[in-house]
Amino acid sequence: MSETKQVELTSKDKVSFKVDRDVILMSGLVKDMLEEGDEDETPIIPIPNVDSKPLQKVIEYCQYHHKEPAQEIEKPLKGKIEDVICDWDKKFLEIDQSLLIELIMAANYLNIKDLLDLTCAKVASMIKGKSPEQIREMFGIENDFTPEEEAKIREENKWCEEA
Amino acid sequence: MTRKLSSTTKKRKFQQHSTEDEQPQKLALVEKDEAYNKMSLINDGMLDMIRKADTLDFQYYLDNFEMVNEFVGNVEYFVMKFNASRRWKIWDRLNSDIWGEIFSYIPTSEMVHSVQLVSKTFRSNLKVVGNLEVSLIGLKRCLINETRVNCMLSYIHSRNITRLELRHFSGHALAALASSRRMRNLKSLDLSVSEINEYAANHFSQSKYMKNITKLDLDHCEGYFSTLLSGRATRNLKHLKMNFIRHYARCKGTEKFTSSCRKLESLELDYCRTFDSYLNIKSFIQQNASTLVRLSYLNIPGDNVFSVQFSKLCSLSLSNIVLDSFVIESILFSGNCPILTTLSVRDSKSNTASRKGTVDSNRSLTNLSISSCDNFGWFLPNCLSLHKLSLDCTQNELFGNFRAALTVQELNLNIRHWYHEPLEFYETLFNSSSFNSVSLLKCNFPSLKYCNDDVCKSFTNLQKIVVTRMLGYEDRETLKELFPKIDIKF
Repeated sequence: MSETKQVELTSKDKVSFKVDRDVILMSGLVKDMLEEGDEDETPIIPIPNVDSKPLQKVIEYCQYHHKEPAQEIEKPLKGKIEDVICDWDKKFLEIDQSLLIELIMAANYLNIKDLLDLTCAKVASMIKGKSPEQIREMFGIENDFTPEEEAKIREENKWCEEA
Repeated sequence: MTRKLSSTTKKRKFQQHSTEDEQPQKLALVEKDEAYNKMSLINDGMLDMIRKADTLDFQYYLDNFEMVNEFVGNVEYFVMKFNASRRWKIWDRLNSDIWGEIFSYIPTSEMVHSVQLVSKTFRSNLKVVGNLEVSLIGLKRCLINETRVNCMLSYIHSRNITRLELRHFSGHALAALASSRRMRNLKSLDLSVSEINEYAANHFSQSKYMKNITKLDLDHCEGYFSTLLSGRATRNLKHLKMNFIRHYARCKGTEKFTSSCRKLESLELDYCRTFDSYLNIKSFIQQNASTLVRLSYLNIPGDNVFSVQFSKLCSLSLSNIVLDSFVIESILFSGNCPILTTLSVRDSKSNTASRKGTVDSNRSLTNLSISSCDNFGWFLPNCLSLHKLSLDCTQNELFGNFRAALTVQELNLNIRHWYHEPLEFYETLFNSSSFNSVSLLKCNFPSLKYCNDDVCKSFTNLQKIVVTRMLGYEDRETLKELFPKIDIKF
């Protein structure tokens, strides 16, 4: 029986992860690199933009979803994200905000569409249903609109009000 | 957003990354040093102040509590602002493309009324939302007018409107929309309950910006369909819905409309009460045969469609037909629909007298849904690949139609109106061998209290039951006794 081919990923903080080649092929970036590179026994791929913690989460995601393809998340979200994703994904997203951001950036860099969709939808779900003040509070954003500017935008938005 | 770069480009970008990053990194270090020095100064000042404060009598602070409160308030304000800016600092690392992707999951009305009012950065990020879906819902007595559409087109901060849902839309509003460049990426247009006047139909059909529409919904509309559907705007149309149309008489030439819709894959013309009176369906079928033959989905009333061969039809939905052997044989056993997998029939009558002789077998149909019809059971044994059977009927209709459907694995039953003794019905259902292969049973289980306690002998392969309505405690217990080893989802 032939052994599964592996790939070694090295994170920004120089931590190495050995992953099955089939698993990490979910990453468009790694896939391109592997297609171009030599058929090494265990190719080493540096991932200089991603720290070990998010990289470990990315690998965890790929290990689960390369066999269980993620369901597409409908745009726009009708309710909370928890209503449309599987239990495994719900548990996977139980992370703090800074890791969530790292994960979005890692998914974007590594070109893993399903993971990017999942994490972006998670942030959207956090925003959805909140007022501008609540969103500012959540993200720590300062209101840089003058009262006049704000009034002008509200006036412009009248086209979108339901009859 | 995840732009496809060639691998060489990626490599080059990756190699350049370190050198390109050096300059901003140096700048960031300088800024960091400056901030650190400023904070050190503030910290030293605070320590100095605490030392001085220690030398004063406690009574001094009590006498000057307003000054102390003001000082504490200032510190708290600083800490609050500092924490907020620290929170935003980590989110600020996401680029505008990613924010665009995030915002694409938020409904347009929330984007407009809430998200874009958060900050100038958030507002500018609206421009990169990939797929914007906009809904404008008017009222019957207050149609969406041209002014409101122009307002939307002037102020909406995205050129990527891909789906528009417009209800109660005036003809002039549609004309304004059709003339806008912002419609270039529009793929789905829902104009339900809108007024399609000649002016709007002309503008729409000749619009050079609407040519990417693949899905058009004209349910409940009235007006100039033939003009609307005959121009360049519908050349790429794949899905067309024209249900609930009441006045085909006003739409002269409708019979020929599909001549310009050469890519049509699905067509719905259902719930049209006066369809046959105004639009001769036989003529419609004959004149559009070359288009209809490409359909993979068709929803149409009446039984006049069966003279045409639908070689690509996968899904067929019929209503108000006479469900006799001629119809069923045309659909299932004649070879007119060789790859049909899904058949849905509703509100149809039977004509048992016309059934003669034996029928062939069908191996393509996997999904059959029958609603408010009688005499549907006779052909079930001849559908050899049937996997899913949905029956929405009265007890009477179901009672007379138990036939062996030995390949069915998923059975959905919605039973209405009890004319017979429920006990007799349940005894028949639970003890017949009609559905031996069913592994999933979805049922509303009406009047379960009349059922006796015998364990069900039918459904030998049953693994799961889904109860499709709220059951009382007693009914739940009865069901558990009937199926003691089955996973029941209430």
